[in-house]
Amino acid sequence: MSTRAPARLAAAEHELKAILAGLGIKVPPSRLLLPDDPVPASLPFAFPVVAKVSSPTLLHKTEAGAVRLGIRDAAELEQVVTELRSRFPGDPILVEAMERPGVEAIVGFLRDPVFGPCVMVGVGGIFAELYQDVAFRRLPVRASDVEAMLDELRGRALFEGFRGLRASRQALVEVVLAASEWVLANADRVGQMDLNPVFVREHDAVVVDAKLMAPSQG
Amino acid sequence: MIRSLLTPRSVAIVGASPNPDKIGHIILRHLLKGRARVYPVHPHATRVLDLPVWPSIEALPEPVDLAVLATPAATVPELVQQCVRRGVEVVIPIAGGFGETGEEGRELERRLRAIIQGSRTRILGPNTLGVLNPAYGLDTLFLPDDRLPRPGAGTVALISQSGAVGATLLSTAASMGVGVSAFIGMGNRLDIAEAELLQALGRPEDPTAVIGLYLESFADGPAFLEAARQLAGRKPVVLLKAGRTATGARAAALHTGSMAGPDQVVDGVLRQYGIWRVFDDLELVDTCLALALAPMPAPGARRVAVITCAGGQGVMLSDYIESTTRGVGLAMATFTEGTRARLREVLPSFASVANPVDLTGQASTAMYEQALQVVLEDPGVDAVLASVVLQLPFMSPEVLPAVARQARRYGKPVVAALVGVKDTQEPFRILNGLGVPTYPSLWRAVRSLAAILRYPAMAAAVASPADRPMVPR
Repeated sequence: MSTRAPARLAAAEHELKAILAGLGIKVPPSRLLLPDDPVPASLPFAFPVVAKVSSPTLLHKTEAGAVRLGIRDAAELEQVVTELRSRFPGDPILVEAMERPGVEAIVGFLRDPVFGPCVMVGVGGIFAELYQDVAFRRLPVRASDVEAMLDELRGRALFEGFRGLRASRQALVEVVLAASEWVLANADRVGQMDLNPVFVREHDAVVVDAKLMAPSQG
Repeated sequence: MIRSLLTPRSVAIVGASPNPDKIGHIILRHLLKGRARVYPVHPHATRVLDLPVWPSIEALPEPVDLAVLATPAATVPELVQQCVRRGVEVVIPIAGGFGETGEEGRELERRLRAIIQGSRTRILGPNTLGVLNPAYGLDTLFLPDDRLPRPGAGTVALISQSGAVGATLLSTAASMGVGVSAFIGMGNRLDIAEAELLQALGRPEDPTAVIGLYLESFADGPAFLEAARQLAGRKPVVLLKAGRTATGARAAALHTGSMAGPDQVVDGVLRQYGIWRVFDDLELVDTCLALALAPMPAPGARRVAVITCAGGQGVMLSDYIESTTRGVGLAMATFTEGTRARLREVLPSFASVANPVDLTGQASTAMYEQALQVVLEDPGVDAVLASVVLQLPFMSPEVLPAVARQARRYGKPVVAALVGVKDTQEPFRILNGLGVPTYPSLWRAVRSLAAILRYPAMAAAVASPADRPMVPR
């Protein structure tokens, strides 16, 4: 798997997250560092933080070593940013708050050749592809459709208080509905979209990573 | 279109040869058993089966509703042209040799499309088995009726993209006594396709109660979904969608793409639009039969009572009903004390009065009917799986109408299983004819009962007041 794949994302992560935030979907607080920006001595959110290279040509950031988690202070941030800039010259760097973890969900969108724009919801995170525990519907969807999708998951209990895990099903449903509405309104621009992972927590759901591909590649 | 397709007043059969081995001759023979006025058409013959033969479509004394073309592909464009000129409503070209064979065949189809464009003439097929409407006696199938048994009249409509699968469905339906309102072989779907047929058969005045389809692809996915959604909860749509493993040309760059096998998307979308999905031809016929005959229970009904005359059957049926792995994951009903007391009065002292009820080898016709009645009266029972062992010495064929009588009385779904019986057709015809879906296998009976109990919830989810609109904006 090439890390600089010939396929290109339709937006850098920070651009897509700005769109999501505009839809009322929660994303981590962040600060974007353009190539010439100085590394700030302080941030409007607390350490530890994450630094990621935010570029439409980077499909698999983690595998490319373009993501650093758990940065503890400004000095470490300075060091990490310098190193990322040397390896990914010219790319912006997105500094984000480390979000409190929750139950990990994946929310995805794709354009089916027969049915048109479709939505996927499932168990997310690094095991998403291993378990393949996902459900699909055609857009548009209603809240009851999304509820039915969650009911279909083998891991549905994860969103229903399994072993004391507190995850707001309602918050996840709202993310799906808001993103679905945007995808449908922008169907000509969306080939595939991954919101993965979405941390589903007791009172909210936050999109930690997001990728968008244009239709020609999806 | 649908009237001319299924209840034509007049039918022309082109290629009506005097040679009894020719397809046109076979179809003519079938057509003559029905109610439509039949016109054999052949360029050279003068008489066939004692009927005068007409030299061409254009020479016919009336513009027929339906024309069946039993001639080779190359002759079809000219014949369809004549049909358009003569104002024929529906044409069924039987022959293969069109789009399924390659570029030349696709070119033939493009020509046909151009010929009917803007006219009132519609095409079913080409490359199709044809249509069957038992109640009207319309039979354009080229498979001789002594080789492919035809089902009788009923309320199940069957639509098939494949002729061979269509024939299998018909043969299964015929052997089980499943009555059919229409069979339509769509073939290459050059013009008439599934969405339009769903709409037509879904009209309230159409005798169809359930529509079963075999599809390998969707002619127009969104149109099909929309048509099916309109029918949810009213006329169930049951689909066998083959081609599940076909590798979609989906780029797998993102997680969503890599996890969206073509079949997984289909699976979710079908449920969303209230389409009941099945996975083999037997299940298609079984489910159509169940949904056509049984009363529709309230969404959420899931408590099943079992009546058997054999312990082994009770054990297996309980597994099939309750297990979520090789079963349907429904619940075995718990009887009230009153029900158990009444069963004790009816049954032999050594019989089981818990669920499953085991009438033992002493079971008689009267005992069976009484036990069924007691169980149906229990408020904790949503449905009954009645396994009738006709081979027992005290059982008589009278038990079949008795089961149907009780089933009708309480309006709860009753599904019957008759296994290992000597006559593999007549008892099924009797019970299905009396409105009790009946199967020659315990598993098929349970699977069908599960469809009856689960369909209403799926349909209700589709029809429920929209918290958000589902129509694309």
